[in-house]
Amino acid sequence: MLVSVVKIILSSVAGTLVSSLIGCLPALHVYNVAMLLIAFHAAVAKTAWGADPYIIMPFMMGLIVGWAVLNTVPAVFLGAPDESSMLMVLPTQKYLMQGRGYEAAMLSAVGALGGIACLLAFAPLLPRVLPVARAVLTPHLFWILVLILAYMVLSEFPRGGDYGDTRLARLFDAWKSLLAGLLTLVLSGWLGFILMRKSPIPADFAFSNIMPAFVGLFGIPWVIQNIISGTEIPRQYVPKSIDCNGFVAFRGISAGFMGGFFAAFFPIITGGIGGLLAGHATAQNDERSFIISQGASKLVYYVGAFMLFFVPMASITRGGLANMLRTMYVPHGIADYAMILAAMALGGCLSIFMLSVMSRIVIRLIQKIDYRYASYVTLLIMVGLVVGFTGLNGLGVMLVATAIGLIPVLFHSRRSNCMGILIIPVAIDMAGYGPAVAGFLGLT
Amino acid sequence: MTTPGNIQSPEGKGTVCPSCHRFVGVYDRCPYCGTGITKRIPLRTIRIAALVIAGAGMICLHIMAMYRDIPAKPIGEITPAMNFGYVSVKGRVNQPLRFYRDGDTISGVGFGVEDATGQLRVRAYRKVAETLYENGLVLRRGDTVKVAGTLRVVEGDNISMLLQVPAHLEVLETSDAQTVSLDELAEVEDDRSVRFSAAVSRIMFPNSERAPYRIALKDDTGTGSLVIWPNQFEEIKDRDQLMEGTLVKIRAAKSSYRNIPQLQIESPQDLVILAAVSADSMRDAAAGTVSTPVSLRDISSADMDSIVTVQAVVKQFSRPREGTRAPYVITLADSSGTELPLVFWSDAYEQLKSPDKIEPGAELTAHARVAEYRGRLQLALTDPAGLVVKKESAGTTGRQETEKEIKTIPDNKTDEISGTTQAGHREMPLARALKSPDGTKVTVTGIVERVIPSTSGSSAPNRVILKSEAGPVTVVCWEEAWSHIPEASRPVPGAEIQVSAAMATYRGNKQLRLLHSDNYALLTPGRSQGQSPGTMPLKDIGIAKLGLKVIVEGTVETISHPTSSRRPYTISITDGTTSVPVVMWEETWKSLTEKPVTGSTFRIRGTVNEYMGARQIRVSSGTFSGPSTGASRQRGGQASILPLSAVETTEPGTRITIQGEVSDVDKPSNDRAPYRITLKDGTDTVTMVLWKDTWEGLSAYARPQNGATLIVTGTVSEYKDTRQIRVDSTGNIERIK
Repeated sequence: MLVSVVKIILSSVAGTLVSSLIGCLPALHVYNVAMLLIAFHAAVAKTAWGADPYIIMPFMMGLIVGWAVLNTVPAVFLGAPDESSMLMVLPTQKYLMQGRGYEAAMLSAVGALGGIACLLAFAPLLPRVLPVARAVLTPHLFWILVLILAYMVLSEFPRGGDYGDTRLARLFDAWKSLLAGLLTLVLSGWLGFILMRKSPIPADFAFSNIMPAFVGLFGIPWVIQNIISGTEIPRQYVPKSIDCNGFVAFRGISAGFMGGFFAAFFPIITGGIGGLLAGHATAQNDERSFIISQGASKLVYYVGAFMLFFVPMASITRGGLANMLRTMYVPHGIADYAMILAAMALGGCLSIFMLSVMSRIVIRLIQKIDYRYASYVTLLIMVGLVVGFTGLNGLGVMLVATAIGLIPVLFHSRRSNCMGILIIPVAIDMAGYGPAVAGFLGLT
Repeated sequence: MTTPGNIQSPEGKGTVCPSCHRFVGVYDRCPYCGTGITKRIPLRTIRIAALVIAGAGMICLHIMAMYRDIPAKPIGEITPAMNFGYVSVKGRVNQPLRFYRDGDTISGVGFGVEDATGQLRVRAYRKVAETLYENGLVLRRGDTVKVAGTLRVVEGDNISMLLQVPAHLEVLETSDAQTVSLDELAEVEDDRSVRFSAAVSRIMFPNSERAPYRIALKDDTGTGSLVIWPNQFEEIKDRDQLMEGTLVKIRAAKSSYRNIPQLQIESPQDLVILAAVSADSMRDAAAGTVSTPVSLRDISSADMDSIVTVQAVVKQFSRPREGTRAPYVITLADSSGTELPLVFWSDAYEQLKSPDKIEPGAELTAHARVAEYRGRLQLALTDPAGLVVKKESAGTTGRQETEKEIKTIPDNKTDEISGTTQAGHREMPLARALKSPDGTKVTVTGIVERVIPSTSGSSAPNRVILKSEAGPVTVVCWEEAWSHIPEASRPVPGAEIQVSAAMATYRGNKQLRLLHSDNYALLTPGRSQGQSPGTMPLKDIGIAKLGLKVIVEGTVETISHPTSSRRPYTISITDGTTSVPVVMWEETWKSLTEKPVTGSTFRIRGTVNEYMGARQIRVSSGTFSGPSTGASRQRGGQASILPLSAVETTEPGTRITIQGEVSDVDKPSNDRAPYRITLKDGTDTVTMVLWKDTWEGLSAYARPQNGATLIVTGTVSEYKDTRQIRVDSTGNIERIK
């Protein structure tokens, strides 16, 4: 028993520390690293090296908790916008340009901490509530997804319209970002349909089928943006307190938890979309609440989705990490559930501490070294992973996805439209039109 | 802040001439000194490039995908790294295709595929399943298919495939079905498909939603048992016409259940009703006529295997010589002048209603299958009970009338013996009756020594053994007659009965054949047999008055635990032939000092009530006693051990008993993983989960090994969308082979 407890503690801590490093590299997703675990496990599962589930499961929880919290570091400190997109940037980046990047990171930590507390508080209810919720909602998933897709498109509105010599030019200026958003949605949906039906990725590495596309859609454009932006980051201050009170924290955490859990529970919906819906639902206009809610939403989405896999009687598999773990082990009963909650709490506490440490380190680094070097390193790692796992075909997919992922960056539309890669093909399949669409596209 | 005066790149390039340091704006060359100006790449260019690359790249990817073949993989080479991959596999169907319904709509479909390296389960849902259903797809064991879909790999070696396009399921080759008669079934290998025609002799309706229909069949060579699952039964065309006597053509997979051949249809289309027993035909049959007979001249080899009704005159009746396996042959002739032999074997002969009337000149009607023997057409009798002699030969009639005058008891004397002696029967002592020739109708009185009821699912008769000076005498009584004898009057050990029956010889032993309930009378009641005093037989629950307080006794078949606090425990008890649900609320369950387990025999006091149109017994507090045998391993009858295919349709949480042969033992790779034992029985393959402590508690002999046959009691659970059975106690595993 004692050995098991020690194993759980050590592996949770190890997972959190590993993800503390991964999380600080811009655009490198924890799932990309987790794939290494799958590949390793597939190779050694039948040997004495086969991983012990009491190590692998808390390790993965530590990995996801750490990444969900520490990922704030590159988002705040390394995702600095250039002057052309200053008005579009997230509040965290505004904080950065005001020398308050550390404060923004800590506000996000408040949200993450609140998210962990909420997950722990709701954990005893989930085994009773989730099976019922799943039974009730499963038949309706299709139209809920379509509704969300429609909301994502319709909730964007024309911006600008002030430049242009003619009315038509000004109309185009106003609708440019909107059209770019729609184009991104359609192109990413098309790409998703191809990847899910007749993927060029070798079948032997099908578990990383979507990885080159995700790297291209979300990772590479961010890195390119960072490399070419050339922004000088002002001097950053490390205050002893943060500008926040209980009400602001409560508002942010509650909105973030709602959005994050919504995204965690519903398939395909991501934390960004969940956060967007929750933000609109709670009419947030306070930047502090917004940052806190984003911190909570991101954590609840990633960690909650993984945690749902362990909820007894629920049989819910959401998120990439749970799907990866499912190929190795399937949790059983309340003991595994309690174990994973313990790992979550432990990893959560450690990662909040690590966020403070890593934020200070990064602040020092970016003031001495050009942060673009980190972006170059990240770019190399990502390309290396894609080529290593999926070969040149994967590289081709990544390049096409990068071009699609650059559209929202260059036209200032929502990057969440790139999630069309999953939402559109899955919604079509759920509606039962998958075979017809595949036939129409010649993909049968 | 940015102002028009300082619009320039961070490096100072692009807007100011590096030679004369004057502002040059958007010019590529300085308008003042002519120096070339290095410009940054316009954002517009990057935007256009991104759009062009995205569009062109997508078109290239699409073309590549269109002309790319779906990769084919042997099942054994599928690894966790291939999770979510879209691949195709080619293999043999090892679990037939089954559609699942949600109300009136098709909600899913599933079947199993195996190749030389492994096996996987293929599933499809909603529209894909509906399309397959509309296409009338049938997949049976042994069919060869090529199927492509998305892989799901769970915990290393549990592989399934999601079929997303109906066209990605190709049937490459359908398996052959061997045409057999029912007596040849035992020689057919398990899992082989067979085709035959037979008559329905009995239909046993399921006693719960999860249980199958069981249909007893008979042809001129023997009997058989057919299993049909409710979802298949509901799809059978004209199923309303399926009743006793219906002639059916069946294609089924043969399996063995407790070493008894069992048949299972693999598709609802595999059961075709050839000749229904309509109300008219039943009336005709009662009147001694059968509708729509065909002329013998019209029967040709094109009718091979089809069932026909013929009406013809007996030209010759040849009985087999003693000690041979030759059939009885009736040469039939009709007005067309055509002659055809009608053949049947001794089993069928014993079921004939009027064998003594079959003589040259007699006119009869019969249901028979068109067959061929050594190149000549013949008719094989399919329904012995349906052979009706419409018009006896002159010789038979004259002889019978003479016998009636000489041997029967005068009508005016029948009242004196309480109406128990039937016209046409000679009353005689049992010992003397045994010396009478076959076909002699006798009336005998005797004391019942024991009663051997007909086995559930078989068409064998009930047997009543009477004591006599010459040794025990068997009276056989088929279900049609038996069921008409009132429950209270049925023979029990010690009872004195009188029967009017025909003498016959079966396997060298004389026996009396009781063909009608009117020919039976209970003279002196005997001691109760098997039934505890004061208990009501389960079969009477169906007609018992609602609200009646009853005591019943039976073997626990299944236990359904409630899925919510507003649902009761439901325990199905059986006496081997009838099952009755017993319901109780949680507080009653908790109050039981000894909880019922599958296989134990319980005595229950409760109230008869009705739920959803079906009778059940509601148990109130403290009235559930037992088990009367005390042993949880005891099983009252065959019904308590379910075939493995029942697991897939059993609600999780239900405790059931199954029997199967161990085909694989997967030992855990670590301390927290269970042993996974794969059981098979010809109807399905089921995983039994056994935790390490249970495994270690088993004796070396009881530990599952490949090839061992186990009887297992456990709880059905769902794991990775598949039902399995969890066994939590060493006492719930019994190795029988």
